[in-house]
Amino acid sequence: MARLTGGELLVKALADQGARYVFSIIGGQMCSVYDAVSERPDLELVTLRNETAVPIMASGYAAASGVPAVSMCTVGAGVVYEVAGLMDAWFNYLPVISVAPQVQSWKMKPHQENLQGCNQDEIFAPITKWHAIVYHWDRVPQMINRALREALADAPGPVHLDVPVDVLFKTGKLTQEKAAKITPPARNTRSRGGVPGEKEKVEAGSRSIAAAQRPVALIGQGMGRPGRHEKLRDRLNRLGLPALASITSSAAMSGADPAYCGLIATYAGDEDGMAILAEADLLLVIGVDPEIMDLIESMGAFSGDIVQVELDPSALNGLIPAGVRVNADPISFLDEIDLQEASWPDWMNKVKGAGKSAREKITAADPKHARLFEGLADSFTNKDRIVVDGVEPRAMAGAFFSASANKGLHIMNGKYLSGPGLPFAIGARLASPGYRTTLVTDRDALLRHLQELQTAVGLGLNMRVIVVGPGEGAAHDRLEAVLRGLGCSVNSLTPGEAPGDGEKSRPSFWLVKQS
Amino acid sequence: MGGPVIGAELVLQTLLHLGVDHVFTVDDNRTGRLGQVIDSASGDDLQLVKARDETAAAAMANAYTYSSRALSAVVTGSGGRSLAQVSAVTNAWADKIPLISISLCDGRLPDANKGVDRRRFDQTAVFKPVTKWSARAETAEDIPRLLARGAAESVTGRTGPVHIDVPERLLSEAAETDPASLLSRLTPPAFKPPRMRAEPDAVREAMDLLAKAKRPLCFCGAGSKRSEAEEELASFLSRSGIPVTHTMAGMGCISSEHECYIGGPSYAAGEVFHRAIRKADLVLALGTAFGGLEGFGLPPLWSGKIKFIHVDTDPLQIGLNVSPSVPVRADVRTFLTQLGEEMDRRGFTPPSAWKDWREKLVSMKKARRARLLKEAYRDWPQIHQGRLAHALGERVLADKVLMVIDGGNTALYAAMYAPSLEPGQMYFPFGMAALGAGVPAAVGMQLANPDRRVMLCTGDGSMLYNVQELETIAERGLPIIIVINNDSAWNMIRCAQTSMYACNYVGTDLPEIDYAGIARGFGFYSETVTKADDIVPAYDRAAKSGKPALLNVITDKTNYPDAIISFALVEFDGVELSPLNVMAGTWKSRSDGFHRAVERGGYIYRSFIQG
Repeated sequence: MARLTGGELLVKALADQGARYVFSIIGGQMCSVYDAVSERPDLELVTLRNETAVPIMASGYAAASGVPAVSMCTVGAGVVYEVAGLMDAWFNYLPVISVAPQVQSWKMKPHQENLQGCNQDEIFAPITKWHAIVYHWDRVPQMINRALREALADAPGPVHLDVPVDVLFKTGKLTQEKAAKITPPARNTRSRGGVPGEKEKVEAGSRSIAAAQRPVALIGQGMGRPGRHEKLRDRLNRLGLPALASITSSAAMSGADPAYCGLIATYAGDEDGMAILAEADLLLVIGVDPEIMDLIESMGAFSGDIVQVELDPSALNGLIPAGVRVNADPISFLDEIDLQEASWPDWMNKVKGAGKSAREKITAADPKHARLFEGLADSFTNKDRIVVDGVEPRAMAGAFFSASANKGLHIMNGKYLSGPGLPFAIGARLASPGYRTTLVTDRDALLRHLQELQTAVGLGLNMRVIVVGPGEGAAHDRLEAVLRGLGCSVNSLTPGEAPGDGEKSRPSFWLVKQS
Repeated sequence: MGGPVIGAELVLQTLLHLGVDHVFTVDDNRTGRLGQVIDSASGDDLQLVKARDETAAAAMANAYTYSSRALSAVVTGSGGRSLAQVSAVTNAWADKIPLISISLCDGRLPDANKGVDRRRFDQTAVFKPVTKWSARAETAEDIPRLLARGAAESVTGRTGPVHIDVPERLLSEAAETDPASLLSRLTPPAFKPPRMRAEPDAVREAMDLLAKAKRPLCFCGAGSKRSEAEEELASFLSRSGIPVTHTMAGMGCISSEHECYIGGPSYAAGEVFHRAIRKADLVLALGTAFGGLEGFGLPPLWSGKIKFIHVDTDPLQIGLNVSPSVPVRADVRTFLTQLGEEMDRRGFTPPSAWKDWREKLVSMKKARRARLLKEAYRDWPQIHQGRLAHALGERVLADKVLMVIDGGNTALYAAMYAPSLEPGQMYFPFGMAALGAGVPAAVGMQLANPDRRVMLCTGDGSMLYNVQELETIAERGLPIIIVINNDSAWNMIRCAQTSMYACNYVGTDLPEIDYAGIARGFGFYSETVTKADDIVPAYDRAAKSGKPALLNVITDKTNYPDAIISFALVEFDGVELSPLNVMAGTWKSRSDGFHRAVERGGYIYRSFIQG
């Protein structure tokens, strides 16, 4: 029997546990891993140009596919860039598996002024759900299994593993007997199917909903997106329950869903929007997150009921003043609601009307840009995956794009992250062959990870990028020259126009004309 | 100043009070009131520098502080915008640069339980392992006190970066105490070497040991540069005739024209360094930690019989990796003065054996240098990286150009073919050897030295990391010349794949990219250089263009610097490697040519087998 390196064992474990993509930049200590990846047809390796973008691309892939993605950056020098990008997975509840080599196990923690050595596990500790150091070859498969379980369980999120270089290069025999002992199979180590929860609590929740006159569902924490109870949209449509989504769940539903009213942000930023929420007599919170916490807090003394449904039991412990707290998965929960006649059609129209009025106000305030975003929204179909980044696109896209049909709308968190849009969109594009991926961004956000255009060009990816803000004249020409230098095609777009499909095997840009 | 002052204003007033003259941030209003307040005060006393991205802003600040020895601060927003500083902060930590890192943070108390309210992650804790000191303000009054404490911590003892988190809500919150009285008690710190004297007995013991040595070696680290000990070191060496070399971070501590200089940094001196650390019986270590890059000062590469005299201001550096016979807690310059006085007292004259030992090493150095130059200047079909490094080195020497180095093999070539450098003439992130900070570091270096030419030598892999900052360079009209050693590969790692993984090149080849076109788009003067004879004329045209410039120099990826073999031995010490793969790699790389195989074999023979 051939001996396996720790790198081979690690790569085998990642594939066995369900990972399909490894996003990475190489380092010397990772050579055994790269050598092993090249031998596996079931794992794709995507190499990038800046480690900050690595976990962001992994986030984009995980968000669009529902499959956990691996972010692999090298010891010290690489991971110190990676941390900022891993925040995307942290804030958006995405299962990104960060794996990094470490220096020799006998020279780490404490370090002895090793080249590139630092206590990187401690850097990752506050921003991951779970982290560990794999000191032994035998333990590699178990730790990978655990990493994926931790990343996926309840409220998902990033995890981090450090593997010392001596473990990655060590060889050992994986006999059948040993494999049975040290390699936990994915299928038997993760919970499968639904989590129906406690009967009494579920019944209490469904009674409240059935009795409500003006209920609103607030979806957050990434619920409803691929890999995280994607059928949520069907259940809400069936019930005719007006639903709003937070940014983390912006891909849960689209304008093609009868029950979808738009983003919480559109309502929270508008007087009439807030008034209609105040009129509700029941809020069904499916996956609480900071945006939903802020909304409920800003509603002051909400007089109606709050029913909260969570998979993560700790999320039920007082983050919002819910009267009924249900520890169950949202599909099982909604399936148990017994309605004589479904839906609240008048109320639904009223809630949707408030969203429409908010969009009209945005249009009146800035007709030129509204025309651009409206035009784009009209051109989207359920074959379009949309990623939005940058200050102005974010403000506009929330209102207009969420009302359009689409395969998934991903709005980047600009407060906490610097220009994640481009790498995220590349990851999302890799997860969506057969769909059209469009990034709508402003110039500043685009510049931040400009280097990843080389990654997209290298992969021959057809994706569309619409840049708001370069205008005309020198700034426009400079950006055009830079984009062409990076190997992309560049077009102009007049607000109101719909861009074409773009080129087949490289990114196509549309720079929006301002006049 | 009178009356209540808000937190944002307090940050500004404290930075001014502390003598911080540059603040680096980003241009997209992510720092709210703080950015506005600093922006409106930006002038002669304090310049605000806006990068395109937080990672770059912090890298600029780091290089600025390294080069100017003036305090600077980086200010960014919260969450990922704060953690974007971690790369520069970690480089500062590894290189002991007193960077003041400030970011905004969420106003809620951090929750270590890591629940679904992900805003409440402990931001300050992320910085803890890579800073000398870190804190979080809870009230507006905390701001001056913590910033002053942080600044003082950054420059005292073992210098290094500090991090302060300021909750966003404090920016508009008024301090209850009069700010004038808050500030009046705070003393501005100075980034100056502490002149700690050695204990007289330690000096005598060191001298006793030195006098008995047959083959002494002086080994200098960044500590001797920080101590500004160049003159004392040069005269001590001239007087004693002890051969000298230095660490990577010690580059520039001694002129390479000095008669005792045997080359360096460390393994970049190849067989000379190997011989020195195998044969020396005594090493006088001045301000070095014997880090990983040097092989920890321990076998298998260093002789196990060496006795060490280890001089450092930091008690924890002494004894960290080698166990010195004479530990000396002192400032390098002060110690060298004391040692000189002890020599005077004893009427010490160096034994003649020292001269033979030194001359042998110096003649080896000359032979190596000649061999390296011959190699670089052969008639290669594509440009040899050594030729590029040497040609640029000549310009660096002639025009006193400041160099920023960014890359793997690019850095090794720069070190092997380096001209004689002044102590602060070159910036490289020595401790972390992280890629990608070159472009922003060149900005920091230029701002610290407005009257000098700054050149960035970068690999093509490193170049793209912060390519957006070409816009910052163009916007500020900084006459930086960027030279790309473009071998279309992450070539240091590709070399490792050649020898350890039988030429299975995965994820290390990079495509051809029109760097010159990209740079032109940003408003740069640019050229692509494919012939060795064009390097210098292209550089001169770039220098005369009056614009920021970029030269995309196409080099041959089948070359690799011989010293990488030594560094790989250090880096993979104790790691299981497959001899079969090594043999297969040797066989498969035969397409690199017989000549290269002979050269590599010759290096291995001279460094590890010969005498």
